This record gives sequence, structure tokens and C-alpha cells, in this order.
Amino acid sequence: MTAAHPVARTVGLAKAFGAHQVLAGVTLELSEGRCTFVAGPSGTGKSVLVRHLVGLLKPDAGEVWYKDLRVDVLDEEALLGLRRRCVYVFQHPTLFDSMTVTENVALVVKYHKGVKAAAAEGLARAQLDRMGLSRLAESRPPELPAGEQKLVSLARALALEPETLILDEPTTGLDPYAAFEIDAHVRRLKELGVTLLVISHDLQSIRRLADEVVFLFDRKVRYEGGVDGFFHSADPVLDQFVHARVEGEI
Amino acid sequence: MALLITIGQMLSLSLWALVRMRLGGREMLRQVYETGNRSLLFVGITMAFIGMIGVYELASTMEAVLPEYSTLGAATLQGLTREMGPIMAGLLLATRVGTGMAAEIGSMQVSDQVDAMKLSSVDPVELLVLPRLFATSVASLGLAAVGTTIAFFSGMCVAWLGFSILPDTFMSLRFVVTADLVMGICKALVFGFTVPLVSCACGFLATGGSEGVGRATTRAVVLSSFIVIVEDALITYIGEVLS
Repeated sequence: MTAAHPVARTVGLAKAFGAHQVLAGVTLELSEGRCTFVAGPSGTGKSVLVRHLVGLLKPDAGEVWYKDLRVDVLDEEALLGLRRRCVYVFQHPTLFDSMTVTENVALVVKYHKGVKAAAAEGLARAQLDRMGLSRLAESRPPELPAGEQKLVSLARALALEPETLILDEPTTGLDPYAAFEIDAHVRRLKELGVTLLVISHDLQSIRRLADEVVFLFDRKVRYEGGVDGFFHSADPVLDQFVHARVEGEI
Repeated sequence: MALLITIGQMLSLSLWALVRMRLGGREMLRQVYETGNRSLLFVGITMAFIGMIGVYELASTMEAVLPEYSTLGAATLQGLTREMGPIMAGLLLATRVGTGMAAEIGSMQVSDQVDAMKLSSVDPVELLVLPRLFATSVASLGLAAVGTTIAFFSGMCVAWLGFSILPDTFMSLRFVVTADLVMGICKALVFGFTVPLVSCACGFLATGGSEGVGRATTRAVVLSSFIVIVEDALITYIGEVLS
């Protein structure tokens, strides 16, 4: 699939950890302003793939591009600029336990936007307010349930007003209500035109939100296309994944 | 090798942050409290026993060889100032503080918090290492001074009660010269710098969940204690050559 306006793309991406080959020749393009879901069985390298997009991992072979930037050759200093525009939200909330929720959000704003601590705190509070999280402002992350921690993590990312947001399994491990709340925020971002890349095997979220789906299997892209094609594919691997069958290649 | 590279990177990044005056004042004060004030009781009690044991052994030897005690207090104070005060502060900090640092940073490393900092333009070395480096150096100096004082007075009690040496006789500064003080201060500062540097590096290199954090913690205490002892020998040798 060739995106009309690719915001990010990988070309022949390969990555191994020791003898374990995780990705082998992955080529894909992400369209601007669209919501793309990356799905696949656990351990197929979904997180590894997207970590390359923000320069957290360097590929063994291949290229990674974000618009006109060749990401895989950038140094840490140059990557900071990219990471202001393309924000990655980890699977685990990765909030700093010794800080309050406001301080967690403000820290990122302060460093990324280069504003004073008081101004950063003001922006952080405004972001929490926009997401209906003001009641959590003075709490510390360990005091919060998983769903609220993920929401705070999302608030921290959105405080940077990114043009592209990468969400790594945002609804995994959450109760249906918390998952729905996260999805509602993602839907709002989609309406605002933010380019979204979501790693998930939550089929309900894919149905609700995805414009495009990329399915990874056996170190490669197995499917890349629309949501209907994903759910109604004749490919036995996709069929097994979508219908959660025990028998099959997965 | 990875540890040496990490230590080198941390050192250069810390110095760069120092040049830019990005010290993180509030966090540094918190770390001084955590490493210094909270170690006082532990260091105080340990040094009290070190002082009692040291003076008892030294006095027993003097009793058998000389027997004359007029230099006991002065020799004790010199040994504490040059050697036992700083090295015990260093080793106790490695045990109490270094392990905590390795465990905290190791947990952050394996739970992606360190990567999250990098993605947020927050330099993990500036935020996590620099305040600890300087706080532990300050704490090490303070703890060495307090520990030396406590060990000296606890030794004085043993000398008085066990060997009938009057406090006036024991309390002598005649062996302690400026070079001893300088050596003691240098050692305390170097050990206070080494312990967080090695411990934080072990934390950053942690991999593989809670088991990896446990390994990083063990590695931190073993390596930092070992390096403190090697540095002690080197500084003593250099001090002797220079004097």
C-alpha cells in the first residue's frame, strides 16, 4: 500500500536481538491524518517496529523516515526535534512515581517547550482539565488505577500538541469502561486531524477507530489495508487472529 | 566494558550539565537529605563501634609492647581522619545509598521510564544522576566528619573505662597535620562521587525485569565497594609520594 501523503515510512527494516530475528524486511507507509492500527500476535515485533519511528531503536538494516527526516541516522540531539512532533506513549504508563500527576505532565512540557516551571505547571493543569482529569492533579501515580494512569500518560503526550501520536497497546489490561474512555480520546484526536498509530490487538478498538490496519506476522507485514479487508480476509492467519481460533499457524 | 562506557558517558554529560548550571537545586537538596541525613544514624552507630573496637585493639597492643598510652588518642585521631572516617563513610554509603540508587534507576530502566524521559527531552543523566553525584559527595564529606568525631569519642570512652586513660590525655591533636586533613577530605569527596556514579551506571544497564534489577543492585554494591577500596589505596600512595 502506498500512502497518498506518507508521514512516516520504513523501507526494508530488519532488527534482531542476538540470534532472535524480530523484523525482516518490513516496508510500510503511514498516511497523514489517518488512524493506523498495527496488529499481530504477541511477540511479532509491533513495539519494536514503532520504536524505530522515534529513534529509540536503530535498525540492523533498512531505513526509517519521518516526512523528510531520515530517522535512523539522526543523533540524540536531532531526535529531540522529531520527538516533539511525533510522540510515543508506552504500553506501561511510565509515569514518574516520585512526582504528582501535574508534575509528571509539567516536566515534559517544561523540557520540550522550554518554558519556566510555573508556566509548564499551568499548561499541565490546563491539559488535565481538558481531559477531565483535574481531580487527579495532586495524586501520585502509584495511588491511581491502571486506567487512570494510562489517561495521565496520554495527557502528558497530548500536552505537547503532537502532529503524530503513537500509542502502544493503550487499552491492554483495562476494564471495558476505561478502554472505551481511552478510545473516546483517540476518536477526538482523529477528528482533530492528528496522525495516529496504534499498536493493539483489541479488535473492538480496531473496529471503532481504525482507518487502516497493518498486520505483522512471522517478522513481516502480512496484511496492510482497510478495516473491512482485515476482518474479512481469506488469509488463514488473519482469519485465525480475527476469530480467535486455537488451531492454525499462530 | 559497557559499564565503563556508561560511566564515561554519565561523567561527561554530568560535567556538561554542570557547565550549563543545570543542577536541579530542589532535587539536589532532597538527595542530600536522603543520602546524608537519613544515613546519619546508621553511620553514627557503626562508627561508634568502629571507634570502640579500634581503640581497644590499639590499646591492647600498646599495653603489650610499650606499655605507654600517651600517643593512643593522637594515633587514633590521625587514623580516623586519614583512613577510617572517609573509607567507612564510602563503604556505608555504597551499602545504604548505592544499592537504593541502582534499584531505583534499574526499576525505571526496565519499566521504560528512562526511555520515556529521553522521548520527553528530559536528559536522564541530568535529572537522575547529577543531583545524586553532588548530593552524595556533600553527604560523604559530612558523614566522614561526623563518623570520625563519633568514633573518636566512643574510643575515648573505651580508653577511659577499659584502660584508665584520662580524656585529657586521650584528646590530643599532635599527630594530625594539614596533609591528613586534606587526604581525608579528598578521599571523602572521591568516594562520594564514585558510589553514585557506579551505582547509577549499574542501574542504567539493568535488563530483564525484577531479576535484572536485583542483579544490578548486587553489582552496584560489589563494584562500588571494590572501587572505593582501590581508590583509597591509590590516594594514600599519591599522598605519601607528594608528602
